[in-house]
Amino acid sequence: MTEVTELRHGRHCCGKYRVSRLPRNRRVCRSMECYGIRPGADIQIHNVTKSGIILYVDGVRVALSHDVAGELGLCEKK
Amino acid sequence: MREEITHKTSIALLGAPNSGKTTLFNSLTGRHAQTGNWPGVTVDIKYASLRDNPSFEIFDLPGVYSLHHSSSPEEKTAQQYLNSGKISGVICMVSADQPRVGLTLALHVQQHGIPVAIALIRSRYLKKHKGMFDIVKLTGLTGIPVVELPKPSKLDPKAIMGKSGLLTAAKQETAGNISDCDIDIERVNRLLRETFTAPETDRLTLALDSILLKQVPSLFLFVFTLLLVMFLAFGPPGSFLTGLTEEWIFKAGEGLASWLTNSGTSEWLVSLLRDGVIAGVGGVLVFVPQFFVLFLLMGILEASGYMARAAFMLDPLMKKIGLSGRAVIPFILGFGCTVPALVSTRALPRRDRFIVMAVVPFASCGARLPVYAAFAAVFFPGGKWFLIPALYFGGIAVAILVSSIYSKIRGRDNYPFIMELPSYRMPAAGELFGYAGRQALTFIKKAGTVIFLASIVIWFLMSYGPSGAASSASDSFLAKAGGFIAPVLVPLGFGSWRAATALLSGIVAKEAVIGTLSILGGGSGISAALGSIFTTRSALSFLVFVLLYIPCIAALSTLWSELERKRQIVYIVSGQLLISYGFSALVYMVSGFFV
Repeated sequence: MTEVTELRHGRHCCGKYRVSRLPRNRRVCRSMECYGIRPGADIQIHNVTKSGIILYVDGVRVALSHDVAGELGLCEKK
Repeated sequence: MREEITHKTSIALLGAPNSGKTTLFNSLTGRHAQTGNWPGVTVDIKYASLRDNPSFEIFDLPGVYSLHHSSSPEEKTAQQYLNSGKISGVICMVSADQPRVGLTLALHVQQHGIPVAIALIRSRYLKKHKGMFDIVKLTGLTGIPVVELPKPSKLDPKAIMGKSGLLTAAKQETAGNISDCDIDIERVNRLLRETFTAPETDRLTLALDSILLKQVPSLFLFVFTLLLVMFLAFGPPGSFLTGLTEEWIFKAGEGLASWLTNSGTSEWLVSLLRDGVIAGVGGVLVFVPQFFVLFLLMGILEASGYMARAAFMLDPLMKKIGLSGRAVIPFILGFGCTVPALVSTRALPRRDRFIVMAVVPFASCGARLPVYAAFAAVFFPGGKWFLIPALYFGGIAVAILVSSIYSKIRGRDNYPFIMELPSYRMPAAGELFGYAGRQALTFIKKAGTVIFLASIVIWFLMSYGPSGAASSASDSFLAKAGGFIAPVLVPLGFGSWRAATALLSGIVAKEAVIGTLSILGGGSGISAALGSIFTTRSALSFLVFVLLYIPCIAALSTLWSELERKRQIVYIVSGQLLISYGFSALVYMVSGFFV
């Protein structure tokens, strides 16, 4: 797996990733965990729009705004 | 559901947000709790007795994704309830096309020692999209009974409860906190590998989202959708139905009055019925068809899955005024009724919540519709297509302005937008008509109770004065009371005691504004009444005041109970009064150049 340090604004791209790290902000982190986005979870970025990104996590389709998605630590899966 | 909690056997419905718990709850209990196709419809615990078996009580828990965390109020509520030791069984909602979250929750509850059954939804969707879920094998591997749910209209409470085995399950002793149970994720993976084949991607949802999630087209579509809803509800279709109802109600009223007069009924009673009850209640009931159409269309938006997309798409714009995109949902609900809109703000972060609660009343609720429609028909017959949407969009503009000001005062704190996007679905006709019918029935009930009583009180206050029966309305108690407030309203162009009284009655219920004006006009019909009280300019100013001034008493009491700091209601109410007064005066002044 290729290590992707951080996906920041405008650098999101579709593909399969493994969550390596959640944002530092505890509140943001908790919100993500609610939707199954936790370290070790496999996610698939399905679509990138101006409003944010659409991803699949545990089969659930979740929308994230760019600011919060940009703080996720992701490892790209081949 | 404000029943007393009794010592009945309790069964809880658990599942992810938007997994169909409330639909199952309604079917099992025969209640009509609100359902919708976006996460966060249930933000509190609802409970009611099982239909046909009142010794069991069904609890509808808020949606949760996991029982390990307790970060959100919904998760805390669900965990506290499952830890309380009151539960005899749990029905866990599992979506056949995305079973991981539901199955993990069911295994978690089983591990905690509470008898659990799985209610499997969307199995028809799974089959249609060439997926497979072997529920017999799943039951064999886990020991959890699985009940495949048919579509909502065919839900049979007896069959569901019988198959779940929970009616006869012995209550288990549980110890410790449910969040401390460790779930073997590898076991969940293994179970899914052995029993589940994922469906093909829902092409319709992907195709629609490829348009609806692009900012520019989706923004146009959002505005177009709102305009279409208003056109259908307030344009020719809705107006035609309202016209028919008005004709029927007032003909029936006149017929009743002449029959009573001919049969020798005393004059005051005929006056009470014709000028009080029929003018007041009838003046409101004529708008039932438009109200029905509005809620039918709102139901489509809520049940189709569009709300979550609208929230996501509007998030960047909402952030510019210091709010999250999630704040769009209460605001859209506010176009129906302010009360559920205020309750739905519970799903928002605390800071956003106060601001949204303060501005949600500016979303023009359905009860204000009769006021707009009646004024538009009299003063702007050719321009009502423009006027009513303009009032709705005016409310949105004021809400945006006030939110920006509040956000600046309280400091910007952009909350991240994270929300599940459910698959689109076509709402069932029965579900939609049932929803719109229940809302219309609530409206009719209100007309039959609150507005009925208000009509009688107003008729009495208008017919009698300090010196007994009033020879003219201007000698009545009502004229004296309205006269106190009227001078304050002079700069707004409607400084008459009649207009002041109508605004006061609008605090009881917004529909009562029209009922009151109809009575004060002498029962000669709302058109004649409005024509005798307002000019075109003052009518425009009055409409702006009605749009922006304080909501009805039901909404105020909800606001009171939902606010963390009760004194904040004073800021909100006084702010609304100032804003409505300011804008109304501005409109009266500016309209002087054109009208």
